[in-house]
Amino acid sequence: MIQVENVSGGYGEKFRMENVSFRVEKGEFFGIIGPNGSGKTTLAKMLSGIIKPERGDIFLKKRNINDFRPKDLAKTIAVLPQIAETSFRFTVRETVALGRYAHQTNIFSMLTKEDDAIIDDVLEYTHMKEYEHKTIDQLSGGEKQRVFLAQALAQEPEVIILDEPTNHLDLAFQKELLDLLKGWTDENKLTVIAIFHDLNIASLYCDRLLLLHEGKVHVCDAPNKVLQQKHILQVYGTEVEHHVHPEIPKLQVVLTPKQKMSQNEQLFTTDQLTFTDEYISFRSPIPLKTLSSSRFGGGSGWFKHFVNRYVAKAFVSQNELNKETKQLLKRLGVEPMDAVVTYTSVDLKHRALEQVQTDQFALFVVVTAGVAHAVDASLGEKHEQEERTEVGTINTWIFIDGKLKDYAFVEAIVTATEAKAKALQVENVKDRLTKTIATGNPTDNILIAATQRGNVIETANSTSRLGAKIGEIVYRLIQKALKQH
Amino acid sequence: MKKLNAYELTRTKLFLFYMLLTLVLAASIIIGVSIGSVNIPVKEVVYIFWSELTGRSVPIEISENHKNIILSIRLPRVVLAGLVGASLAIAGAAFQGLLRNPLADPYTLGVSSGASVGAVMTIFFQIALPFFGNFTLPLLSIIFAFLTMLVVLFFARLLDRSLRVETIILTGIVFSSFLGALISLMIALTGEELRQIIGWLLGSVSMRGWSYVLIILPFFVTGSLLLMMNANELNVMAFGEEHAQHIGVAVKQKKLLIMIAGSILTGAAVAVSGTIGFVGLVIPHFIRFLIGPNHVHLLPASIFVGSSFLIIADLCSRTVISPAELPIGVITALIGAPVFALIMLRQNVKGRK
Repeated sequence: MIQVENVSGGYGEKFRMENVSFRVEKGEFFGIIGPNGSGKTTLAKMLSGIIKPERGDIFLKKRNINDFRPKDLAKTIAVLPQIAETSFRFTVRETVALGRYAHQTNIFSMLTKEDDAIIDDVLEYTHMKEYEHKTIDQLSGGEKQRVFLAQALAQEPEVIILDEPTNHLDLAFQKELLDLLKGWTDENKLTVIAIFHDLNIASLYCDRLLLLHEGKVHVCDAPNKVLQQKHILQVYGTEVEHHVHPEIPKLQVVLTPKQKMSQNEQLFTTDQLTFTDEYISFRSPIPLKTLSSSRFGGGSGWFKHFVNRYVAKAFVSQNELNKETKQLLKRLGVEPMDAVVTYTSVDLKHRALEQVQTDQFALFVVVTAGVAHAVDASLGEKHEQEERTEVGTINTWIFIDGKLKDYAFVEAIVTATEAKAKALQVENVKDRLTKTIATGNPTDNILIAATQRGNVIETANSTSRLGAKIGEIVYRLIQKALKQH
Repeated sequence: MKKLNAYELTRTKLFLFYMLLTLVLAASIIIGVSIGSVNIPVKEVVYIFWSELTGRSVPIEISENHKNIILSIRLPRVVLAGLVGASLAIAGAAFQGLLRNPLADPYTLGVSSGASVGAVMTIFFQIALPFFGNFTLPLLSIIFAFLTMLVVLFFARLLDRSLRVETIILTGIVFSSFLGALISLMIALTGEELRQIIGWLLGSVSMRGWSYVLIILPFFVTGSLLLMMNANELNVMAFGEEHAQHIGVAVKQKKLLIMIAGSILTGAAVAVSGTIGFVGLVIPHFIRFLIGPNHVHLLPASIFVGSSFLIIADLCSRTVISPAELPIGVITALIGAPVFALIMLRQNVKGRK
């Protein structure tokens, strides 16, 4: 659709493009990113024909952009400006009607029936029909943006260029606007070229990204490749961390602010533990990065409060249980957002804990254990029809003062689980149905929480320093907890 | 009270609006012709027009004297005032749209003063271009008007690339004062009376006759048509030149065309009447208040309202201290300057929000 070949130019010394080449395919959602002054706006102005390149060529549908007459160009490319101001109070409909300018042929520029139909269409599409007789100075920023989007669409363009389209918009309309545009590119009706300031939004919506650096193309590729740490460091001069979007396979970048943390203070002491018949709770002075299988605050997140709650009977629903847990947390003065809660059906007296301090990390493990419903995981299928009458749970909390890589969290879980299986084997715990050695209860929970300060711990596999300690302690504690009667 | 913002312009409303404008203009002309040192009843005026237009006889007796006063003295004066008012108003509307500046008009931009320099030079140095004859006067005015506008805009752009409202007006006023002084100097050097200088600077449509009507008419028609053909371009350019280009306007050509048309209208008006201020400022604002800023209707409506306004202003100028006459510019400035201040105030209040 658009081919940019060795283009140089721009105004002044500051905002210049040097030897820029790339292509944009039909139906593509193409993003332009880069720091301030990298030439994003200059490039957009060249693509829309406002600035002529000094060297090199821009081809639009295989025709040099310089050969287009203004009206022909406007029929192919529309631009959604950041903000267009006017001191005159045009109505919404009048403003949108101006988008038909390039299609009008008569000298006194009267609108035809066809023009009116298209104006009605785009007003409907942007949900501005009911505002059509309002003047634009009466509208909010988001509504104005929609008016100009409608105007751009009234041009019936094949390409639409947006300069930081989400700048003046609140969250809901940002998403609405981008979803709308994305839909059109998917249907291949429209090619979108957009300048983005926000790398994460660019990553979410764009098919490809062009990263500009000092007027040159740094890299032009799929978002996941462009947002690599090394590119961001080279162009923006700052370190970023990556994480994955929870729903779609797109990379997101996050900044980590500088933080001061005292390294010496011992974080885990038994003073922070509270035991009652109803729960065991642990309060951490700082939020801990947590990966857990619990049904309240489970998955990954940052938490300060950890509660192991005794639930005597099976609740009707998880929702009801969680609702009641929230009330419990409120009684304890804990914000539910800050808490992870594991449930157990085992008397909380069946517990064991141990603390260890090494030069590399500190480790604190709390276990509650009961095996009335022990199952052999290799024969789990046989339990499908089983009526659960008795309940048993082994909940293992592992707190680590150290900085764990994501995969070390998973390794810690694996190691702890292996140690649990070994403990059950040694204790000769049997699956009642299959009469084989059990490996755990179906309701068992495991929780790994780390301070993410101090030494980086690369691994927690069973032979590493951390992993070996976890294995040894978990093994011992489960045995101990089972014997508490 | 329902605010006048949702001006949904249906066909019926527009038709009624233009009907009203036509009636106002017709009334202004008839009143303008009937009132003067000798009052001629409206009824008689209408019959005189009727008989002149159709050539039929009329039921009342028409005094030959009255007929003479009307057709040779008052009517050309009224028509001239109308054409000058129309030219200045439509030019003002165009300048405001083009520069996105609600305070722009031929007078505040200094374009009128530029045209005056051309006119004064022609009159006082008795310049006559070969082939052009009577049209030397408007032609030189137009050229000077155009050059002044180029200089003012060039200088304003030097001061401030974004061409803020205040910058343009300030530049226009500086040039206006300078050119006004230049005119005074020229007239004083030729040994004329100072009264006449003031007369020139404040404008007048008296004692011009039909020949002056013929001088301005072709320029008025050309300039107005050019502008009305670019009404939509003006609409689009009200959102900024870059935006206009995105929408498909060939900005450079259209801008030049509009500036030339504006100069033609201003130059020709000044050539026949001197500098009459604020017409181009007040009239477009008044119309925008009624029907909104769409130039497709703003421009023709400016013609109607501008001409009616100047006909009435001229009537006031010659009746207020009758038998003496005030310069017509005094009347327009008395109305225009406060309006100017008001617009500026509103503009600033809006800017501060």
